[in-house]
Amino acid sequence: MVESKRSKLVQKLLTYVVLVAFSLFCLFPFLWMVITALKPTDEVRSTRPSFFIENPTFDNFLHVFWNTGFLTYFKNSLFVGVAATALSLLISVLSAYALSRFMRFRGVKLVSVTMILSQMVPPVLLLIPLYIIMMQLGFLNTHISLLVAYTTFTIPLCTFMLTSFFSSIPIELEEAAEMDGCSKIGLICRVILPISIPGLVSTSLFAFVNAWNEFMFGYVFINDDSLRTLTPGLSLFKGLYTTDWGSIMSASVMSVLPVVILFLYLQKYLVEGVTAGAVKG
Amino acid sequence: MRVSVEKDAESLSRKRRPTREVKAKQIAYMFVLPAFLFFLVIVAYPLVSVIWDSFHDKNLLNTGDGRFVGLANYVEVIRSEYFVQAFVNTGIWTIVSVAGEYILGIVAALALAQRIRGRAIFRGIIIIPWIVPVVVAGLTWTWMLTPDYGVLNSWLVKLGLLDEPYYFLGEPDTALLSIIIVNIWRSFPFYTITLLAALQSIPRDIYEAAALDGIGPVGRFFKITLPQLKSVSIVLIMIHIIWTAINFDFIWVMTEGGPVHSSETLPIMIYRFAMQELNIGLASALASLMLAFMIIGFMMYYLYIQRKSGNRGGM
Amino acid sequence: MKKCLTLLMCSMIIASLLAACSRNGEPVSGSGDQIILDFWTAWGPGSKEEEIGLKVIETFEKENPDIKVNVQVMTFDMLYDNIITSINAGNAPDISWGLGEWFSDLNHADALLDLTPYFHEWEEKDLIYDNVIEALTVNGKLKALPNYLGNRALLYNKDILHEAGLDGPPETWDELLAMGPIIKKKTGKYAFGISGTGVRAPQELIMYLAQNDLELAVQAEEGKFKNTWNENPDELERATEVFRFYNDLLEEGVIDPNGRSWGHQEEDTNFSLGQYAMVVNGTWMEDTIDEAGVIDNLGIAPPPKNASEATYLEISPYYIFKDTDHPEEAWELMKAMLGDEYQQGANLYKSPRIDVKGEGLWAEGYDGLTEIGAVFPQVSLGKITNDMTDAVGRVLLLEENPEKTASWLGEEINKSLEANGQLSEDAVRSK
Repeated sequence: MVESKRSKLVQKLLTYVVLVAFSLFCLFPFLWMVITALKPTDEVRSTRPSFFIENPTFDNFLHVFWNTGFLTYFKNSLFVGVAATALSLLISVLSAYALSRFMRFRGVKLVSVTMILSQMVPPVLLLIPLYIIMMQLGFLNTHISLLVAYTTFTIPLCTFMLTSFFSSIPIELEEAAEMDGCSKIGLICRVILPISIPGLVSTSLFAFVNAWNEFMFGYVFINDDSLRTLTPGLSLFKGLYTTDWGSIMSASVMSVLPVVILFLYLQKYLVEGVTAGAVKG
Repeated sequence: MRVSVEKDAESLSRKRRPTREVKAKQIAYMFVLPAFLFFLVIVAYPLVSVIWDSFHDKNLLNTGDGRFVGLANYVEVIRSEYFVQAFVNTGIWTIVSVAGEYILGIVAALALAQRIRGRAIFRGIIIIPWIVPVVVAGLTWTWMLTPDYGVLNSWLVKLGLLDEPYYFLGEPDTALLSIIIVNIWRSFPFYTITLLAALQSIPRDIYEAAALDGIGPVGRFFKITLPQLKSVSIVLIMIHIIWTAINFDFIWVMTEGGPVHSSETLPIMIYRFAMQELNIGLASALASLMLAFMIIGFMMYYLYIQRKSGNRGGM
Repeated sequence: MKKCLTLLMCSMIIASLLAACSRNGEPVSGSGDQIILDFWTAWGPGSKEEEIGLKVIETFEKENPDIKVNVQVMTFDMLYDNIITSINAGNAPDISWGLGEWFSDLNHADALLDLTPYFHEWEEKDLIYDNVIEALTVNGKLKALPNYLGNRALLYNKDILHEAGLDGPPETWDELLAMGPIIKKKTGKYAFGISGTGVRAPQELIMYLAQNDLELAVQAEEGKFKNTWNENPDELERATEVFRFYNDLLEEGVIDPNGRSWGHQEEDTNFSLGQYAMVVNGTWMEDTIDEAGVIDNLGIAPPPKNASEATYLEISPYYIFKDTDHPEEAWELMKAMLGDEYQQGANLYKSPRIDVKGEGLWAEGYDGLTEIGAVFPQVSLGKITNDMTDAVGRVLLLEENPEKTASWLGEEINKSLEANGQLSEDAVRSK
């Protein structure tokens, strides 16, 4: 390289400054979340909020963990999230394969256009008719209603992500396998999926986060506390007459932490997976 | 031996081409069928009912009524007091959010693409906001922004930037802007990850060649990096324009569109019509209008792309 | 690693499919002889209402072994959304808590059970305040039962008033306005708190309107209403005065500027923490103030008056929905909730029963306020309450001319009435 050492050093320094600034920006709300969660009530409501906790306590956590529906909400969210991810992945793999290989058929093209269109439909506007459909199908107040809704709204993006991934797989690979008498399903399982692992991981992470974060459908479709998911559950913590920020923040910490850990573990795949998807566009 | 087999296969396939094609078609349709069914039941059918309702006088609580009223609902929506404001707000909310997200996203991606120590850790940290549920992000920032107990106000006052605590979410001038910042905070990591991935796939030798030609880092960014990121960026921005424009929960969790409708966007207005004023006809008309705006926008974009690239590129 | 992930993926898919299947196959709960009553509440976690309520329900279930009460707790916002969607879909719960503001909408939708026959046979019916039953009666039919009464009185922090050298709470608007700068100067704290957003804002506005002898809508003929402010210069002037009062509270530094956007949580929390001196609020503040443990010296007085003495009488109802399959059982449960144990335990100072009054500061402070309580008119309020909140915001946040706001609100109320077919004939004609 021809650049001088000094300009390289400056560049490096700049990079660090930028990254540290970003990290603070990203982390600060968490830090504050954790600090609030560890404060006793009178310190939470102090008019001079400080970083130092005079009497750190786990009371908020214990309270949320044992005396509220948090654990139930968490389990429900986990179940719905995993199930919706699996289901949308299953469906998206099939449709993405079709989209990447058979775009020449008019029907396939139609499906791809409808998928783009469905992305433009605000879920708010479908709320009431969907509620009625769910009721007619007997899905109301069951996790199936959420499963179906989340799957539908994640299929398009999952499909597009996977489509671009699959398109980058040379068709010759398939032809060879086809020669061996593989069925299409067998071919997908044996040839396509194994080399698409990063794409699958990033797609499923995406689907999972979507389901994990969703608020509105969970809020309206589920009335039974034993079936309620995390996000509407958290909004319940805002309470009736006063807002108990200590509990809200400790519940937030506990709901975010597991996913953060999962992500940090799988983030390598996320970047790899998006690479193939993104670069092709 | 091998040659003859290949020849056989070729002639075979040529002979069977029509049936092969039919079979492929069957398979293709079978594969897209599940996705299509989901779409039909969960999106298309409700959508049709929304469009149907938009032409009818339908109230959520007296379902017996429901006569055809033509375009009356549309007229009422457009004439309604806060429509123009909500429309403008939606524009501001979408454009400022997406622009901010893109700028932060690309800066973070460029920094992360450098070969430095601790890159993985920084990358991990920067992804975090994106995993936070909107409700949690909204609640946390609301908590940080409260005037009396909020840490941000307390700091700004201590630093002398504010004379007294300011209610960011409670003032018509700053409510929407505050939510936009929170939205940017939560959404920019997605850009970063995607752009980072794209950055890493740009061959290094292009840069080296440019450096040899004496082009500085800034020049390289504009001459090489940006053009290389163009297609990814367009897809990213397009997707996020849609997602942001139709986003409901962020604003709902933080201000419910207030104070005095100053942070109300079209989706919030739809919800207000439907769930608070219980007027499904109006809500549906507004929803249909919004859908129409978006489709028109994208059609125009699509046509523009088509014309620009001749007939070369599809989506 | 790759294998491991593939495995994980496959097992995830299989597990979820299995789970989905098994869920499909599950028998519908509630089949069999057990009667299930769905009961939605909005009691706070850990509140007296929850504690005593669950106890009463447990006893009820023991006494009626064939009935199971399925309690679901939600916030009021969530309750509203869920009630609306479920009525629309025809699967409302049997009984639900709710706000009085929803009464007319729910009644208009014909979603409520006619309770008249049950009520007439109830031996304790005379123990409920007459005007409360009247407020829940439409065309001679009782359509809901009272859960609690949310009268509003002026709560004041004696210590702050003392520090400011004042010997008593204000009795009129003018006195309140005059006290503001004094308290601010002497103690550095604001004198008064209001809630400019959320469900509390319209409740406060209707009180100030009533204190100036104004009604949101007057009944012109059976079931038909109109707002008369814009027809009557005198009324418009009085309505303007109400909004000017809001404006003065802000201009004179009587209220915290942030209070313009407070919801009820902020209003309650800040008062209980001693951040400001006075607020017009309900008896639930007892819990909040206790919990905060900051205020030692609380005083309670009637709300400051202007043209006349008035307060807001919140009647929070139990709604029993028409679609219920078990009206008898629902009624039995209601009797239990209106019984001594729950009323004495959870509703001591806010009971709809004449014989449950409690003693001491809170009982005395709120005594006699029910008689001067203003209630919302029996019209669809969904949009009207929103407009009322907007009106407060227009004056305080957008600094609109109070007269313009008053006239605007009057017009909007009539528009809402018209949209719901509740506008009186002469008002329709004069349009």
